[in-house]
Amino acid sequence: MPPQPESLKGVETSVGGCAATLDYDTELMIQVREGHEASFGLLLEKHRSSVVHFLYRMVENQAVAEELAQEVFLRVYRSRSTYEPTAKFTTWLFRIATHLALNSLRDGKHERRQESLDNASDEAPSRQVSDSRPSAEALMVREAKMEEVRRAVAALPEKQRAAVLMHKYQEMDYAQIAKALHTSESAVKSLLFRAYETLRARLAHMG
Amino acid sequence: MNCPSRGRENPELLLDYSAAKLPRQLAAELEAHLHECRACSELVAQQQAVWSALDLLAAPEVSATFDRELYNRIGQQDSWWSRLIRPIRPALVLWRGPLVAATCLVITAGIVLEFGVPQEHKATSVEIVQPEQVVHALDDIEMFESFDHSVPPASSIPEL
Repeated sequence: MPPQPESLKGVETSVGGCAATLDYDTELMIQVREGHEASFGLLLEKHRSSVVHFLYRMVENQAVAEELAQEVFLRVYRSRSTYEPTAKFTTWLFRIATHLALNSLRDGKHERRQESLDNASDEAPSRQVSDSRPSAEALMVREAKMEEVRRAVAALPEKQRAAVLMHKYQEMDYAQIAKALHTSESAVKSLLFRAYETLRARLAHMG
Repeated sequence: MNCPSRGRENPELLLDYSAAKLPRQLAAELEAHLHECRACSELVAQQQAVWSALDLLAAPEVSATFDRELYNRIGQQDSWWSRLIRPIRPALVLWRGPLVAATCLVITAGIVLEFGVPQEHKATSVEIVQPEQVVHALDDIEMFESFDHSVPPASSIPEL
């Protein structure tokens, strides 16, 4: 079992024989490739939540999202010896995550959450968004809005949904999204424009 | 600036502006256009509403057992070989080149010892001759020469 995260300082990185400026994640992944398993722990710590949240928003099932996220990190760990920093680490990570999510949706291995407003508060795990003791009415309004947004996003075609989630929540640029979706940058712009067009039709009144 | 919503040349400009991702100078140019173009300003207002609405789409916290389960899966899938070499893996990575060279050398030496030197190398090797053999050969030559002298030539033998 890899050891728990610990700080790594002063580790020099070179790619292809010459020093290169790499982002911190890529440096960590190169260290994992070279046998520093603690670096894997650091990558997991850093990206665990974003990967799980992305997958949750894609498949709408917490258990499936976590299972898929584990598969993502497992694949990262397994391919450590052949890792080459050809793209940003997060692009690679979300490429794996998107691939697994799309496969899972196509296989229909899971059941989507059909959460009604009545049982949402009973079954839903604790939410990320904090609030300062809102009234019951405000809470209900917010839950209703959230449900509306959830339905609007869920109604998007899978690739459009993945593109929107990466654009909005992971703050990835068009080139990164294109690599993650295995498509061209112009195709991503088109996907996003159509997705937001649909979302504007459904959610613009919430502004 | 050409109208992004009408011409659809750069529709992402409006998305990027709504998400506050546009560079300052380009944002200023677009703002000037927004003052003149009702279609674009409406689209931006709607897009900003969508952008805010998406903030409501919260995701649950990751379960506390996530890491433990992941490391268990990693442990299960690790082969006995990778578990065996894990402690010396950093050294193996560091000394990869010399180790490969040494392994090749050992394998080559093993092949040579097992199957011997190839045939063409044997053909070029010099045969070692002992001094006694030379002496015997010289004696034999001397004996043949004395035999030649004692036997008359073929022309002197009478015909029958």
